[in-house]
Amino acid sequence: MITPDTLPLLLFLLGLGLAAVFFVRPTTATREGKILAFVGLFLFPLLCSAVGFSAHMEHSKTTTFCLSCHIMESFGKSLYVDDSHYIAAAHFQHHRVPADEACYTCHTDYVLYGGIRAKWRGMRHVYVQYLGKPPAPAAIQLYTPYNNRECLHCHLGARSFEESATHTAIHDDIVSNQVSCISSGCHDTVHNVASLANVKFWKGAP
Amino acid sequence: MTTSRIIDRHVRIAAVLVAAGLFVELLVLRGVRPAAFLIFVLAGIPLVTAGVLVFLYSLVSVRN
Repeated sequence: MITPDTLPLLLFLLGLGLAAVFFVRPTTATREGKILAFVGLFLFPLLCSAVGFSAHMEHSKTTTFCLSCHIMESFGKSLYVDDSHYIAAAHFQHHRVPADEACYTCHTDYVLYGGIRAKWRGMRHVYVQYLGKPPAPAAIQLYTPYNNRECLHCHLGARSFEESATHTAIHDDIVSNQVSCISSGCHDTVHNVASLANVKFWKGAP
Repeated sequence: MTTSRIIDRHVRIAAVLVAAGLFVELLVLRGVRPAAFLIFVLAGIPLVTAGVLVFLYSLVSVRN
């Protein structure tokens, strides 16, 4: 049965089949042959590459993808800390963010072309991982300070956020990013990978 | 070598490049690792692009 998962696979197999036909019989003398060559050696390869690229873009959003690098192991572990003060863990464990896209959900930019910017940052990670000198996990820092906009994408307007007396008192400062959610002493325990040796983990930890 | 044989040779080369590119892309299609993405972008796509360009060249090189 054809499913959205098997469709790209079939497309690639068909593309390979068509290319094989022109390797065995590269006849483009007839009109039909020319049309088939155009489909098999131009349209299909481009379509397959576009579909494959799109699939890889989707894969790159997954938690599995981000945590597949050894250097990210402790960050993955931090998602299972049994302490609600660890905001990354609390969001992940209570599915406040989709568990299978946990990293991307918090670390993308919620602006126009923010997804592309996030992917570009991902390319920088890849460059550092394979060609640069990766830092120790505890020394990893964001390229730029975390923007409240990413938190407010979900929390702004939510009852739990709006009814909090602390949030109400400094609402404008939070929205304008004058007061940082995570580095102003309020929600400053995020991944804290340096202290993972001394914490308790949730039973669902891998 | 006749014109049609030259075109056939170009088409055959294009087919090999496209097939090789699609094969590489297919191998790493399900990969959920940065390495899979890199292989797709740095090997699969250039092979397919080269194949497509050779095919397009075979179309415009007919008169030559």
